[in-house]
Amino acid sequence: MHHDFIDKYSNLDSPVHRIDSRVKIVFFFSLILICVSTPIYHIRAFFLYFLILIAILTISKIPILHVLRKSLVIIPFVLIIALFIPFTETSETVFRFNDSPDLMMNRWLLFWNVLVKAFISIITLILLNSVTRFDDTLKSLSAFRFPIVLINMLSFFYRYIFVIIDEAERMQRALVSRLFRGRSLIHAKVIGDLLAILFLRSYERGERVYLAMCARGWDGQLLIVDKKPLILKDSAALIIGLAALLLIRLWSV
Amino acid sequence: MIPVIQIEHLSYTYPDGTKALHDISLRIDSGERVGIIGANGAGKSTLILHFNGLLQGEGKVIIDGIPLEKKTLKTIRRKIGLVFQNPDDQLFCPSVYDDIAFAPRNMGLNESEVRDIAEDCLKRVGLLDNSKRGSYHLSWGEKRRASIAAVLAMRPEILVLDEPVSGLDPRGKREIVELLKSIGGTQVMITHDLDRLKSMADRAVVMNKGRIIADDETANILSNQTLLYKAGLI
Ligand SMILES: Nc1ncnc2c1ncn2[C@@H]1O[C@H](COP(=O)(O)OP(=O)(O)O)[C@@H](O)[C@H]1O
Ligand SMILES: [Mg+2]
Repeated sequence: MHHDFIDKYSNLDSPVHRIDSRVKIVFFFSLILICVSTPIYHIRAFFLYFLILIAILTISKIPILHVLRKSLVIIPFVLIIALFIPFTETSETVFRFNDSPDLMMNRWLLFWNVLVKAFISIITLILLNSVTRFDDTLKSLSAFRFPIVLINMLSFFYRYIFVIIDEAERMQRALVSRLFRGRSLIHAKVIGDLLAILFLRSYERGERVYLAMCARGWDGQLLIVDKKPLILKDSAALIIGLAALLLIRLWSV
Repeated sequence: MIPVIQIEHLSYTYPDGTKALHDISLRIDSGERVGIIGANGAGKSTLILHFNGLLQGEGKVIIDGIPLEKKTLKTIRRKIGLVFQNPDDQLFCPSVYDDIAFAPRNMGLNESEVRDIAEDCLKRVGLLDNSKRGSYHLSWGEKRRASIAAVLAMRPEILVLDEPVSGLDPRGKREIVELLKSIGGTQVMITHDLDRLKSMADRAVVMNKGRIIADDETANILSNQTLLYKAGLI
């Protein structure tokens, strides 16, 4: 069975892929923070953020279609926010825009604000996961003292989510081949049973995995980072990247 | 010579009341290759989980002369390399390399020692090129070999495998049989594959309903049709 893996394309080789993952995490998260904090009417700044992302995309040879397709996940969220915008109070407290032409304009800007920032943020995250292997991301997070329990949970999530999806898919096939359609409400019980079985199986798997961990001398830590200092090239990349972001941000105050 | 595995009058009941082992006694000497055979539910998996204290029943378990108890658990777990039946349970790290490195890291080795061991083990099972992949992407046979490598990385004195050839195609089975032969040392394996039993084990222990009903040279066991029938193996 084939899935779009969370970190598809992260095994490619490019100058971006070769940069230390800690640098990439700091840079991409800074990009998100700086982008979100930029006032929406500085269109040029957002244009430049986009340009940076596109440059990284090109250098890292990630297919642009992949990124665009994955970015569609934000659409429902943005739409929900958009639904509420007509009911939002658009006074200065929402955003300072003193010489605003009229209320309508403000609301559009507000929507635009959410849309652009959400889009840039999601593209940034997709890029991060496309140029960094997930285990490297986790190791870097632990280098940043991210709580070890959360890292372990993410690691198990990444390892087992598709195993569970496969299991669900197999069960669903078994149902369908016995002519199950699942259209009416009566069938809710069947679906409920299926979910219960899935839960029990996952729970039991968890116990077996725990035994397997104990059998190999587990002492509470799953991934251990090799704390290498950053090499010159990586530090330079980080400094240049952050400087560029700061310049754009300061320019648009 | 002291036996590497010595079990005396071991019984075990699961918390839900299932009596899985009745009065098991077993002695395995260093360098032996022992097959444990028996129908589904005979208690084979339950028995091997007692070898390193993952389950603890009534009776005595002595590994390499050391009685298994709370304070010897760590030492004993290092001696026994347990390969679980389902590789998806055994390979829980995001990359194959991390899985192989798991045990050496737990042993407190530094990263360069860990890397040497991991690369050596991956090479032995022929997976060196796959070390950066996630184990989800491996084929079933590759997963099996990765599980074995993950356990070899612990440098165990005794290798214990739960159905190492089940679920594999004939070539996959042959590869595992050859791999186990090349690893050598003391090996205990559960299997249903009577055809391959002779090339994998010199001695066979037959289990039925939680008891050991026969323990002899493999050839003798395999020629005893009544016994195999009684154990539900033919
Ligand atoms: N976690 C468990 N809880 C309760 N009963 C179990 C559990 N695991 C196994 N059993 C039962 O214990 C008996 C022996 O099982 P097992 O050792 O897995 O057999 P085998 O490996 O020989 O097929 C079976 O009757 C099985 O149903
Ligand atoms: Mg079993």
